[in-house]
Amino acid sequence: MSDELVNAIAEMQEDEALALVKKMLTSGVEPTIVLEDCRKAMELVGQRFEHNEYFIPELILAGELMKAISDEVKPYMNQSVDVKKSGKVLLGTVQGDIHDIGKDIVNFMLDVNGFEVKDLGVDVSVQTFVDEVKSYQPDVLALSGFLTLSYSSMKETVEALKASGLRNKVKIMIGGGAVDEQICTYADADAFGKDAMAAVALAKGWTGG
Amino acid sequence: MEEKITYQIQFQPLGKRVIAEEGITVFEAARQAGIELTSACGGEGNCGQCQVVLLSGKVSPVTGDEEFLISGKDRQNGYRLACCMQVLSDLKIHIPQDSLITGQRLQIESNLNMIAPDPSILEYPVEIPIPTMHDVRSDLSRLKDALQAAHHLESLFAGEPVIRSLSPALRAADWKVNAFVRDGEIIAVRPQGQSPLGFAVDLGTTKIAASLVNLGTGEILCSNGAPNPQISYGEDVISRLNYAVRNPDGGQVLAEKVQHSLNELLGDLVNHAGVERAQVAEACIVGNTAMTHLLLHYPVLQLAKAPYVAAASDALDVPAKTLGLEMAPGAVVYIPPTIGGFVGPDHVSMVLASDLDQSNKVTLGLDIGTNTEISLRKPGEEHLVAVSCASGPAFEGAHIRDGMRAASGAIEKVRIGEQGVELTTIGDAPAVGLCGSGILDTIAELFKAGYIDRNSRFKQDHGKVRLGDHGPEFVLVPAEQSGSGRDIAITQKDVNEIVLAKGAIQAGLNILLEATGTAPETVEEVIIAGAFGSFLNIKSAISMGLFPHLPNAQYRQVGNAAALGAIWILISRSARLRALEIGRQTRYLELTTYPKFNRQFAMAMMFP
Repeated sequence: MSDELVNAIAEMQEDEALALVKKMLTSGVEPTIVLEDCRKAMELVGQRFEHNEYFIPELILAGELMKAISDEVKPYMNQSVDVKKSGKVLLGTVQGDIHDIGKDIVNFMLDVNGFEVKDLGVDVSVQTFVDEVKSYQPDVLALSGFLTLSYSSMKETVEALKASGLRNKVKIMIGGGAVDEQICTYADADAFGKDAMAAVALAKGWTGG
Repeated sequence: MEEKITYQIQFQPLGKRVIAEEGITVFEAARQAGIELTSACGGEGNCGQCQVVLLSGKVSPVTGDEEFLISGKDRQNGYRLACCMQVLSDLKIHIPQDSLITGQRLQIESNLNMIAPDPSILEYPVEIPIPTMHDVRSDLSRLKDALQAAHHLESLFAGEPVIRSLSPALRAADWKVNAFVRDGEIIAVRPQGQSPLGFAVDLGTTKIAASLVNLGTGEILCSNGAPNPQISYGEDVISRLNYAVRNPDGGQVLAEKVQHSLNELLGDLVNHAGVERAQVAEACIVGNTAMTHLLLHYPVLQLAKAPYVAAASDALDVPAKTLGLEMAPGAVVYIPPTIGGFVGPDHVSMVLASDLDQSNKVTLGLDIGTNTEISLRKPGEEHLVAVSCASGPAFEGAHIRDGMRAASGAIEKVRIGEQGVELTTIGDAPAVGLCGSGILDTIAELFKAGYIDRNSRFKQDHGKVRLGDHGPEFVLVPAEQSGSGRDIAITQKDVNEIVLAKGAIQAGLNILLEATGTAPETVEEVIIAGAFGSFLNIKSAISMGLFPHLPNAQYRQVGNAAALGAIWILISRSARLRALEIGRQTRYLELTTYPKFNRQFAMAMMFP
């Protein structure tokens, strides 16, 4: 049964995948097992993208499918025993940028890897990030941006955290578009990730999760 | 065998890239790329014609020949001789228009109708009494009095630049002059026989198309085109705005570059038509919101970031002089209104010239370019609705490995059948690359013939698909038959670029229809404007899904309607009023915030 879900997701068979998820959940399969299948499937999608077998449409559709599956799984998660989360991640696309495809996938992958994720959405102002870091107290702040202009927003966000004395309370990772080592240095983030798997690895490394 | 070191050379503004061996000259590299530079000596460093500008990268130092052949000022501005500089790293080279043998094909014509002239600037022939010791009225009073007596023109006035030019102009014309008057303002005084002219410009992200028109008769004296010189600073609107924002003098540099080009274009047109700059009484410049902002050196930070807000959207009159345009002393540049987002005056102009605002059919109007604008007209409804799609420069040949602009040797038509590949090149020259219509044809044909699947992936098990340096690719012209001595191929990455562009346009169309509650089968007409749009094969565009399935639509390719609209606005007051009305009545629909935009975009990237 399990491989069936992994394949349905990786092959972009949305209806079949959703039907399978519903069937698994109603027949008593642990939500964590469903999510583990999703994680495996997303790794496959990522590999295929890297090997040029998949392109942007598949990433978008996979991201959408993950959202839909999350919605199905959530009601069951509440009933199960409080799963101990491995850490808290605050996530958002920075000011002036509205791209969310990559960010949504990162959100999902962190979620299924046991992180508690708060997603602030797109075009998130510097002040909102500062306020949320203060109140939500995440272990990790993940800043996403696709446009080159977003790099300056990343830098401003990090600077505002420094000015508020919060910089040392949180690990900051950036990602999206052409983000690289140079942008990471420019923005003074702690690390950058080139895809959702890298984001998970970074977060795990920092939280010991 | 020793491995040779190679570098990538990028030629702007053609957008042509070539891999060249270390140590060969830039002249040779250009030749290998199929670009013919002007040269009398054949690249021997004797004639000084093959001047280019090094934008980035490392080359051999300036030679004695160059010091002799290039003026000190030009050398300071980075001019070198292509035949005297050796390739020592990856390079970015700018080729000035003068150094190119074959001009690019820049579409300026349109097959739409002309409008009847009804200009806002009129000419009044008048003979002025010569001053004497008994009649010492000032030159301006003398002119005004004579115009009132002869033509009943009341309360005339003139601006400072006109007054400054008046006294010599009256005397040079021996007091028999043509006064150009716009709404009571004297704009210029010319010798009789010189009629007021207009300068119409379509300022595209990639290309500029300009015409000189007689304001009184509507006759187009001549037209010309040039690449937008800002292209070296960013190929699409967002990256170009980024340049203006991120560099201290970025906005200034971009404004000066384009203003200079426009003034040069005007000079070419004036020379060609055998008229004088001082006759050119008005200009109308249309472009997308980013282009008009950069031309006017307006602040663009707010336009470069979401939610993409213009500094102003009203129509504008700007003194020609402030934009560096040498025209009649009182000449102004008119810029029609902006609709919203990046949908700017060029789209207003396109809607006008294609009569989209007056159509009695359900009509879609597309202006395909680096930024694609689409409007929907539904008869009986008060508003047109417009969207803007970030289609990128792929259809203009950029980011495509063997892509090039529509110039000599560009493959423009492709058929892939049982017998293999059949193709047509511009000027029937040996193939050196693909222009937009050729790229579109190739991909549509590859899909039809089963080389690529619905998800736009090359079928790697297909016998004719080979594995290149960067994944699967299909060879259209083998090296021994091409004009560049290299294989001309379409790679998976090329397909990806086109798929992104096609996805952006089709998603824009689909959302526009969905948001306005328009069923695809009710669309009666699709008007396609723009240079790429006039050459593209509609069948290819439909079969690859650039356009959604519109079963009852007639397609009409109208050429550069935006450029024609600029001419209409110059010669007709009623057209100008209609343009204002189009600006007012068109609603801008933001695509990216539309629910399920991402999904629409994903689905639109698939082949039908």
